[in-house]
Amino acid sequence: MNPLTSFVSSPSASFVAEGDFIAINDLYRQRGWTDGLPIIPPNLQRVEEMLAFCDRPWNDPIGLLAPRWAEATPWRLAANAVMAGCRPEYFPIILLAVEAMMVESFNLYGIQATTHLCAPLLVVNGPIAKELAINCGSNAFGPGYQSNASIGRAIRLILLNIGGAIPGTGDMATLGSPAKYSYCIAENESQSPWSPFHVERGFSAEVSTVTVIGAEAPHNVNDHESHTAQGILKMIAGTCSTPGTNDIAYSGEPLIILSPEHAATVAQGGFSKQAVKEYLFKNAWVRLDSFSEENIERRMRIKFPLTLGQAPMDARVPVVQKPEDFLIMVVGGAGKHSAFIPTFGATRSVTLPLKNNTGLLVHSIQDFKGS
Amino acid sequence: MALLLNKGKKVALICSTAFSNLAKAQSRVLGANALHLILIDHPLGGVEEKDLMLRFEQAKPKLNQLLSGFLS
Repeated sequence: MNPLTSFVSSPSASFVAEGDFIAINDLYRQRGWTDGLPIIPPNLQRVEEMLAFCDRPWNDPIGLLAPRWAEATPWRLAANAVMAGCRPEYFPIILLAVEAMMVESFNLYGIQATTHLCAPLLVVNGPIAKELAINCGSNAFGPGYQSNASIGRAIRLILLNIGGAIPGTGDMATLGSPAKYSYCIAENESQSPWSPFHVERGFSAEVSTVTVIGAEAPHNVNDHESHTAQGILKMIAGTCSTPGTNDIAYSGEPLIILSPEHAATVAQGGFSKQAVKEYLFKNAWVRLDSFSEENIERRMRIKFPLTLGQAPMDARVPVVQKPEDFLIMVVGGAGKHSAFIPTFGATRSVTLPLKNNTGLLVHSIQDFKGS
Repeated sequence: MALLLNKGKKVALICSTAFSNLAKAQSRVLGANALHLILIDHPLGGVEEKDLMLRFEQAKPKLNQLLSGFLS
């Protein structure tokens, strides 16, 4: 018996439905199994095709996804990947991203159920990004690429259908965000003057990784005038300096996206990534009296008793607690826009390398095929 | 809460109305069906002290009833 057939024969694992594409979509939507957009019906054939790039047992328990605490398995992830419109070769990245989100420090439970409007941002580094044509250049955060769009969407459907992040019941976001539909990019390593993000995290450049960050949507930094490193960094620091982020209150790790043109100017000004972090740490702050009186007395003085407990109203409140809490990446195409991406705050980003089922690093997605 | 309940403790959860669906879903998923839910008006966060006292007064009758039951 086909292993997939045996998995879906267990109670409530599958169901038979008749009807055309529209009817099936209506059914899925009525059951709350979609993000509101049409899905590709995950029939047995499509799910099996999706698993062509899965090198572990299809019923292998990967872990429990909060807040429903349902078990993620390769075939369940594959069903959602089919629904999202993924190509089979995207599957190893999706599985790796789910594993990364399950790392305790990421705090998936908090990110799923919070009233905050965060969503897991996936950033792919290494050779796999190019092999899968994951956009890192112009419009990297926008539409147009099947890989970016469908991998990000698969993650959302997984978090909804397996994790139980149902709006109003499991996902309590007050506002939500467009980033909750799909949020997947690659870093523009070839146009970065610095070592890539995953190399900074201790991996060699030839290794492919997925980083997950519990992030808001990007806040733009428009700087068409600065022609010095200090000028650009001052504009970024100023954009970061806002009292309304979770990072400032919960010791988070905000992400700074530098466009290639801005990154080139900053690097030519003699700034390494570490120097950028130190500049931003020193210059991204908010006066204590920028917060409301209630926030000062009921939150900031209590959360930071040593530094703010007795501080005067003109005290400087840093956006992050140490320079290393700024994450730096180079993304995007032509143009002088960079971005500040705040996070959920009570979360740490997680970077995992792409390995096969025996623990060996994988250098091509084809290594997974036909396992 | 669910952990305490599963250890045989008597547990009640005070929850604002907007979050009752999440609380019920989590109780179900975590096997804490015996968790007593006391609903108060939403919101709780950011309210002034006088409104906080109103929320407490709202919860008090059910809380007293439960505590009496717990202790009997």
